[in-house]
Amino acid sequence: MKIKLVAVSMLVLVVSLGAFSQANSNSKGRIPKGAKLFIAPMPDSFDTYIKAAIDKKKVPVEIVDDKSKAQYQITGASESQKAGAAKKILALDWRSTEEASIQVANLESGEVVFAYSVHLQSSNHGKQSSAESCAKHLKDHIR
Amino acid sequence: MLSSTKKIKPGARIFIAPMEGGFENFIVAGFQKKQVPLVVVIDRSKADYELSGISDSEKAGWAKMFFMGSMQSREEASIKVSDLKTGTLVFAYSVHKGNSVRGRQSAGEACAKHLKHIIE
Repeated sequence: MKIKLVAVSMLVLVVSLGAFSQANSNSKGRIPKGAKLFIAPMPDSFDTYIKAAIDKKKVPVEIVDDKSKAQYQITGASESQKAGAAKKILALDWRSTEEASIQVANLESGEVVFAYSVHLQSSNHGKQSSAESCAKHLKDHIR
Repeated sequence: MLSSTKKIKPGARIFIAPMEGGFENFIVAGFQKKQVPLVVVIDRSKADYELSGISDSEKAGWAKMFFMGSMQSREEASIKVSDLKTGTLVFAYSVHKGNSVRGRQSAGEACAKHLKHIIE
């Protein structure tokens, strides 16, 4: 009888833990496949690099130009610094330093569901590399 | 007095005000990386707290590269979190990195990490 009671209690505990973790993962708000995404204009037109990267990395979302038709919005910032004479002479490095950060917000709830930042000390393809890094990590967040 | 003993409840809604150079994006990314248990919202009216701040970044010049052998930037940031209902300041933090390995990303993550400490 005692064994049965312990087994039932364990089962209840396991089921409640499962439900809790499910609720937790839902609250993280993953982006569904095919979601409509609006990419807000960013400084230095980084948004165009993001669009190209989403296409290249085959991120399963639909990009829309009209914010009112979108479910999610990407905002972000980026900064690029070309290699100066010192970097070229002392480090023999012609590549630029890239920095970017994006966040994706659910336009209905107003909650930020994904955010990512990248820093590339020597970027092989400039802004393209940082945008592709953002897109790659965004793709991982889509269920 | 800064209510350093005051804690923020997990799941509280926080609005991150726009900062110069888009540093708010790095803060939000820091939240995600450091798993700060707060909900970031883009609408201030839906928030319980507001995070505002300022940041400054200086790239390594030739002298730093030549004499110090360092190509890393110098980063500075300062943030504060206020309770929007009471208007009180609940958290403030500033960071200075002489040689930031990952630029503004490092500063954003440092802010997020220290904010996480006051969440009960």
